[in-house]
Order: sequence, then C-alpha cells, then structure tokens
Amino acid sequence: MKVLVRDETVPSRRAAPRHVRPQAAAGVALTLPVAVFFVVFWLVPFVAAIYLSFTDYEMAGTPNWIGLANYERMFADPGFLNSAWITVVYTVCTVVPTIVLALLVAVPLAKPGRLNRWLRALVMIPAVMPLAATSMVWVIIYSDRGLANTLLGLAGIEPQAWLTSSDLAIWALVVMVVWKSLGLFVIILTAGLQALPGEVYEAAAIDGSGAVTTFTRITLPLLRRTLLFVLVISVAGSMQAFVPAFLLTGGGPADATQVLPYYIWANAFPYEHMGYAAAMGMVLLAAMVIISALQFAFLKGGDE
Amino acid sequence: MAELTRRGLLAAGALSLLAGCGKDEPRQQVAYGKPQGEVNVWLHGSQETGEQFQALVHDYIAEYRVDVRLLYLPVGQLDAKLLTAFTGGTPPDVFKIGHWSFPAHARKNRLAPVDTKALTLQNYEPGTTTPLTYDGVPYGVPIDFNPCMLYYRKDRFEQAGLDPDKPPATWEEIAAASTKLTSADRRQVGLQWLYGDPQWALMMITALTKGGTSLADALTYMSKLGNPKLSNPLGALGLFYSGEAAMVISGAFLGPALEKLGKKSTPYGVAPMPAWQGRTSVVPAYTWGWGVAKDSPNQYTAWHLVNYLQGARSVTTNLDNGIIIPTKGWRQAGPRGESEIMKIVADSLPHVDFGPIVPGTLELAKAASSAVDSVAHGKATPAEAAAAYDAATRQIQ
Repeated sequence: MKVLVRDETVPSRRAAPRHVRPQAAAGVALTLPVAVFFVVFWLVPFVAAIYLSFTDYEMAGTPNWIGLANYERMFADPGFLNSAWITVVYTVCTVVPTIVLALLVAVPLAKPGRLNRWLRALVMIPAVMPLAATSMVWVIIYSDRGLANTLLGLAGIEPQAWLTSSDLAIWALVVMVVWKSLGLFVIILTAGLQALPGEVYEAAAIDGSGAVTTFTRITLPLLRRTLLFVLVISVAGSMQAFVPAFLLTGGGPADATQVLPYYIWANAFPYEHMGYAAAMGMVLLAAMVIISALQFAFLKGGDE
Repeated sequence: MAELTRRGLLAAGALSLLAGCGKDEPRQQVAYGKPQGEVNVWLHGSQETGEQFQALVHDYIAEYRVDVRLLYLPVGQLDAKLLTAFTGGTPPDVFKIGHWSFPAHARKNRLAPVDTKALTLQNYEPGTTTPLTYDGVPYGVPIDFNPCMLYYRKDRFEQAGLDPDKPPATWEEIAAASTKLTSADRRQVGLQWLYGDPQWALMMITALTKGGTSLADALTYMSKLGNPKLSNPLGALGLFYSGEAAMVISGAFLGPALEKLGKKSTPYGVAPMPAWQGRTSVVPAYTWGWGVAKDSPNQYTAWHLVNYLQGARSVTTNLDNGIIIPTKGWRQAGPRGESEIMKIVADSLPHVDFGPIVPGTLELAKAASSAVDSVAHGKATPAEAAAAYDAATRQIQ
C-alpha cells in the first residue's frame, strides 16, 4: 500500500501565474548565448580531450582507442617526469615569493592617502602589460650586456648567463613572473585589507597589541578568504604557465625550463601526438584540482 | 510545455552550432590543364627577398589571370597554423615549409604529389629533391639549397697567430685552432655551436657521426669547443659579428646577414665543411620547399604557379641578393653562378646529407639538441647522452 503525500508548499509549475511564463522565456533567451558558448567552447572540447587521452590520435585519420596506454607511457617518459618536476619547482618558487611580497607591499598601500593611490596605480603597470611584450623586454634585460648584468657589475659581481645557463635559467623565469604577477595580487590583497573591520584593530590597540602581533593574530586570520583566492589563482596560473618558457628560453637550456604546459604543447603540435598530449593535460588538470581542493580544505576552516 | 521548449531550444541551438563547425565536403577540383581561379599561398618571407617575390607573383597574375593571395606568417607560427588548417580541412593551396616537415605531412596523406604536367623536376641539382620525396613519391619542390660551411674571423685568426688565409680543413684542425682562439674566461671562443637549436644540433651530429666517429665521441668533441653560456640577441650570428666567436658553421645566408648588420665591415672568410682527418667530409644541408595540399581544389594551377616562381628570373635575382641559393639553373647563370660561395656550394653537392627523411624528424632533432646541450651544460656524460639519444631514436622510428 502506498501513501501519496502532496507538498502544497512547493508551487507547481503548471500552477504558475501567467505572467511568469514570459519572464521564464526571457530568462532562457538571455541565458542561451552563454549556455551555447559553454557547451561549444568548454564542455565539448573538455569531453573530447578526455576521449582523446585514451586514443592514439595523431592529428590525422581516426583516433583509435588504446585504453590507458598513454597514461602508462607518461610515467616512463623522462621528458614528462623532468617537466613535471620543473613545474613543481616553478610553481612553488613563483607562488610563495609573489604572495609574501604582495602582502608586504599591500599592508602599507592599503592605508588611505593620495600617495598610496598613485602607488597602487603604479604597481599595476607590469600586470597590465602584455606578457609577450614583457617577455621580450626581459630577454634584453637578461642579455650579456643587459640591465641585470650591469647592476651586478655595479655591485662588483661577475656577469651571469641568465638565460643560457641551465642552473640559472629557471630562476630568471621566476624573477620575471614574480615581477609580472605582483601588481595584481597587491591590488587584490589591498582590497581585502581595506575591507577588514576597523573596530577590531581599535580593540587590539587598546589592549596594547604590537604591530607584528596585530598582523599575525588579526590581519592574517581575517584575510584568510582573500589569501585563499590569491593562492588558488596563483597556483593554477603557475601550473599552466606556458608563455614565459616559450618566449624567454624555448624550454632550454638543456630542458632546464621545459615546464609541463610547454612539453604538452610540443607533443600536441610540433610532434602531433595529440592523444598523448591530451593524457598529460588530464594529469595536469587532476593535479590542479587536487591541489586546489587541499588549499580550500586548509584555508577554509574558521570561517564560521 | 514551457520546460520542453526550453530544453528543445537549447539542444537545437547547440546542435546547429556544432553542425556548423563540422568539416566541409572536399572541394571540387577546378578544371585541369589551364591555370585559372584562385590560389592561396602561405609563406614566410624576408625584407630582402619579399619585393622580388611579390614582383614575380604580380607578373604571374597579369600573365595568367589567376587570383594569387599571399599570406605572410612569422616562420615560427607557420607550421602550427598549417597543422590546424590541415586538421580543420581548410589548408591553403600552396605553402612553404622546411624539408623536415614533408615526411610527416606526406605520411598523413595531406600533400598532393608533384604534378609533372604542370612542373618538371628534371632540371634540379642532383639530390636537392630527395628530402621532399617520401616513399618514392615527390611531394615538394626545393626553393633553396643550404649546405653548411665554415665561417671564420680573419682578424681573430691573426690575433691568435693563425694564418688568416688558411682556414681549418679538418675537425682536428678546428679543435687545435679553437684552443688558441679561446680566452681564459671563455668569453671569446674558437668554434661556437648553435646551442638550443634542434635542427642545427641534428645537422652537426650528422656531420660528425656520418663523417666517421661514434655519437659519444662526437658529443665529447662538441663539448670541448664553444661556450653554451654565451648569448646574443642575434644568436650565433651576433656572437660571430661581435667577434666573441671566431668560427661558426652556417649557411650561405650568413654573409648577406653580416653585411646587413653593417656598422663595421666584418673581416671574415668562408671555407668548405671540415672532415675528420683522412675522411671525406659530410655536408649537412636543409631546404625550404613548396608543397601543395591534397585538399586543394586547384592543384594544377598551384603547381603551375610554383613552377613559375622557380623560373630563370627567380634564379638570377636570388643569385644577386645572395640569400637564397637556388636549386637549379645557377650553373647557366654566368658570373653570378661562379662566386666563392657558389663554388663551395657546387663542391659540397656530392657530399650533402639532408639527415633522416622520416616523419619523426622534429622529435629526432629535439633529441639531438637535448643530447648536445645536456653534455655541454654538464648535465650528462657523453655516454649517457648518447644512450638517451639512441633510446629516443628507437622510440621515434
């Protein structure tokens, strides 16, 4: 025997007033372009990439299903393992200094004042310059007789082969990327700092809290959400970084700057191993999702 | 009903958009045997050769009433754009690519074989069409012929007590001269290799190993010369121009390029490619070629245009500017074809090696570059690098 329960609190669609239908139609019409865009340029390529990662597709003919062969090949491929390790080093060494420096710059810049308004605008300049153009500028800065070696010369230090030494090239990339990303993160953190409640700081001052204690016990915990946002986008940005290595070093010297996105691109296009490249892309995506989830798990706590 | 309509509308929109993205049916061939219609050409060019090339194209348009549309692309972007055009089913009719790209495109059935009714390959210098041939079928026409040769700075030779009129002829002499030409801090070197360039790494490995030594010994030899940390925005050309490198191995284009830099005249000499002592030299070479897409609807006109572009007028203008060594007709070009460079080119022809003509040439070149660079930067021993290169070679082939 069945008991039928009818929930009268949920309005039936059929019972919706007549004026709701035009609104729904308008909603559909307004959403449709975005939905189509999402399906065509995101969902279809994403599903296709997952499918291709299980095939031997070589940019011609029909893709043949090969199961997990691409994934097995990846973990025996020295080029992939080298690129994955370089990506880890590159990500850690760009994200950590960028966020620390951005925080150090944002704290004084968050205070009101005309000078700070100007400084906030100035610090954004590298962030708004096209990456391709700034990469070319840094090629000149790092050249034998460029600005970097001129500054070293003034300090009495021998000139360095910034982009042609396999030991230095990755650090040369890191410095450029930190310089480029800093401004955007300064602005985000400044906005976060300016939104913090002033009365908490007043109470801390009355209690005799010092600057360092206030920063570590009040500012950082209250800034957790902003820091989480900055951390997630900077890690994701660094793990996907392709242009700096492509334009500054071409992945060299001796593959020392061959980050994973560069290796994926090389396999996908010059070598036409699209199936293998798609598999590496899936692994990179999985790594980014896991890392982002861990970041949320560690930094989300305490919001309540 | 409203829900059904909404879903239906979404599905219909998405499906119609996806259908619109689908591959078109093969385009119908324009009537055969008469140049006509439209031909799209993708190429890279230079300021030095662009004007003469466009003049030729304009004359072709005027003479045959064919609509030729040129699209100039940066050399580094042409291959990627062409690949996506092939995959999308919309390639240009004619394109200019390196010989190393022909085997991969031919294997994937993207290229039209040379139409011998529109174009003859008989007058080309022996061997220059070989790298554009795959499985015995010619798929391209060589535009230029670039055998390697030795460039040396006479002023640096004089400073080091070497005879500026007697360039090294063997790899052993190169090594001995390099020792004298290299400064203690290695800011000035003798022979400088083109580090980080896959094609040039493969060509140098070809010259040394096919000339008579093992890969590990070749890598050891290469690691003792040059300095991989030297850099110049113009690469090895810039290092040679500045005098930091006393010797480089390059193509015939280097002379005109040095003259273009031209603030000061560079006292340099040119010599044939060295050989190992007691052996015959192996001269690595490359060529850029014209290809025609298999999906082109106007293949006859495409090959007809290519034939016109390779004609006698092109030969004489190329010999005049010195940047492009033509692949035919220069022996009949009088004094133009008898310069010092052209004599070296002629002498090198019997010893030319275009490297492996296989679909995975780009990967082989990258493996060669990794081997050379890893030894040069001290990241691997020559034996380790040679083993890694051999392993990569086996996987590619």
